[in-house]
Parts: sequence; C-alpha cells; structure tokens
Amino acid sequence: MASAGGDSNESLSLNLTPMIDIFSILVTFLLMSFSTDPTNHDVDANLELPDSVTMVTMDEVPSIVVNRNEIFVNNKKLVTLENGKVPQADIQQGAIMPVYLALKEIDDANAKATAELRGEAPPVDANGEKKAKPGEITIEMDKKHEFQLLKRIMLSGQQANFITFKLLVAKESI
Amino acid sequence: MGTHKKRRGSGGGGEADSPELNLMPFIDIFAMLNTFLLVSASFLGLGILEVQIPFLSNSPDVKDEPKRSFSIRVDLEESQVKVSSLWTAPPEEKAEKVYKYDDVEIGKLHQDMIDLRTKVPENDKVTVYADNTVKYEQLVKVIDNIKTLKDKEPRLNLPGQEGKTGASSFIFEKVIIGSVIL
Repeated sequence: MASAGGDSNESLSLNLTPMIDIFSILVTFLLMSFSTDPTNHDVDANLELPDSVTMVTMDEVPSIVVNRNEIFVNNKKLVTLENGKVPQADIQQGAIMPVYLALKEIDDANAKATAELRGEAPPVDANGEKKAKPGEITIEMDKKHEFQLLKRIMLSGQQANFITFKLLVAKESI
Repeated sequence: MGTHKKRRGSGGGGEADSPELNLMPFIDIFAMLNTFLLVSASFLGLGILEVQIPFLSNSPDVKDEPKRSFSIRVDLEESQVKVSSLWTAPPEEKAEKVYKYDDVEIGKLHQDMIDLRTKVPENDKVTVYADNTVKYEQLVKVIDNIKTLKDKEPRLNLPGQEGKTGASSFIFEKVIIGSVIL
C-alpha cells in the first residue's frame, strides 16, 4: 500500500472490473423483475397476503382491505376488529353494516355511471332502488383471519349487489 | 472518447502505447440505471383468485339445464378437506375423498381435481363450503389447487378451449363459495 506521507510517486489505481461485474448482475436481475404493469399497489404494512400459484395478475386496486385490526373500504376505516372478529354492534343479518353501506354507495354510483354512459335513466328494482348488473370487487385480506370474517364481508357484498370477489394474493413464482 | 493511452514497458520494438478503456462513464450509467430500477422494482408479485358467491335473481333462467349433470362439492373443515362428486341423475355415481392440509395430501387433491376435470370436461364449476374457523390461508391454498394448474404442469386438453388464451391454465374456472348465503 502506498504510504501517505512518503516520497514515493506511485499512484493507486482501483481495479474496477469486479465492480462492473457486480453492477451487471444487479442490473440483469432488476431488469428481469422490472414490471411494466400499469396497476401498482402497495400492500398494507399490517397484513400478510396468502401465497398462490395463480397466473392472473391484479387488474384493479383493492376496494376492501382487511388488515390484522381494521376493515377499510376505499381507504376509509369502517370497522375496528376485536381479536380478529367484527364487534357485535356492527353485525346485522350476518353482514357487516358499515361495509354494506359503503358497498351500496359504490354500487349506486356504478349504476348511475353506467346509465349515464348509455344515456338512459338508472335502472330501478321493485322497491324503487337503483339496480345495476351484479358487480365485482377486490379484497385484500390478512392470511391469518378466519373464514367467518370473509363470509361476513362477502355477505355484505352480496346484499350490495356484488357477487364476484377477486382475492388478492402474493404470487409464489416471483 | 473514453480511452487514453498508457505507457508500458517495452515488449519488443521500442516504447508501445496500448489504449485503455476509461470505465468511469460506464460506472456512472450503471449506477443511474441501478437507482432507477431499484426504485421502480416490485419485489412482490400480486395476483388474484376470482371466486363467486350464490346470487338469487328473479329473472327467468333461460338456459336449459341438462337432465344429468356432474357436481363437485368441497368441504373445508378445520383439519381436513372433503371432496364429494356426484352425478345428479341415475346412474348415480357418488365418490368421496378426504385430505389433510399438508403439502402431500393437498398435492393429491390437486391431482384428483385434474382427473375429475378430465373425466367430465363439460363441468367447469366447483362449490366450496367452509367452516367458520378455517383460516383464510387454508381457503386460498385449497382454491388455488382446485382452480389453477401449476407452472410446469401440462395444459388440459378441454373441448371448446382451442384458440382461447389464458383459459387453459385453469382446472376449474368457476369456484363458488356456497357458504355465503343468508
């Protein structure tokens, strides 16, 4: 090694080849995992998604997020869970009332938007309520929850005219 | 551009100058590229598993239901999964199998689902019932094995799916959560 205060005129030269090798490997790896998918979503920090081998990619941002302690619909906190269960006060006919009301609002907005797009009056059911074609909704839920909670959320969705549910999962192949 | 000559000891024939590549611009570009890729990289791939729930409608059913159809029911309990298959009209063939949640047994369930689909290709629907205490993770694991073929598995040769893209990666495309009913 060259001395700091010596009278030698030798200059140190860094060998850059290993560094370029590392950079090349890193760039190759990152380019392989680079995604051009326009839908980008950050998973809630307070939940862990179940693994899946599904090849179907997420196509819309989840509307219902169920982390370990809370339920959100469109980023609005609606229910605080007690040991992973919905408080009895929020349950009505097996469904979760605040979730049902929020989903009903979404369904009404969907019905109105669809009707406007087609240039016709919003369809109504026998009770005079706006009615749209059954919709679909994406759920992001922590893997440790019990099925009962999912069932209650699905029941709320069913009563608000949603019958297809897209369960958000972590792809195993990545 | 990027090269400079370095004086070396004589290798024969006087003082030969050999060009040397200046690596600094390369490193600059790589560093920039790395930063951009690291920022935009997604290390968790997100997918979806689509399921349906029963829906009661007043509209008349326009489809003509076949007189004899094949139905598959999967019951998830806390420690085991029960698969029952049944022809709805005589000659009735009823079969039942029970699996544990470990990888080997779930692998068997997956293979049996492939066999059931191959045996009756017209049926693309499975109804799933689950106990309240079953974990969401277990439910997803079972649905995954009912619905999707694994990456390296050969695609099923099902009638009516020629030319369809993506559909062939499914075993049973429709999974209905039968327990979700008032």
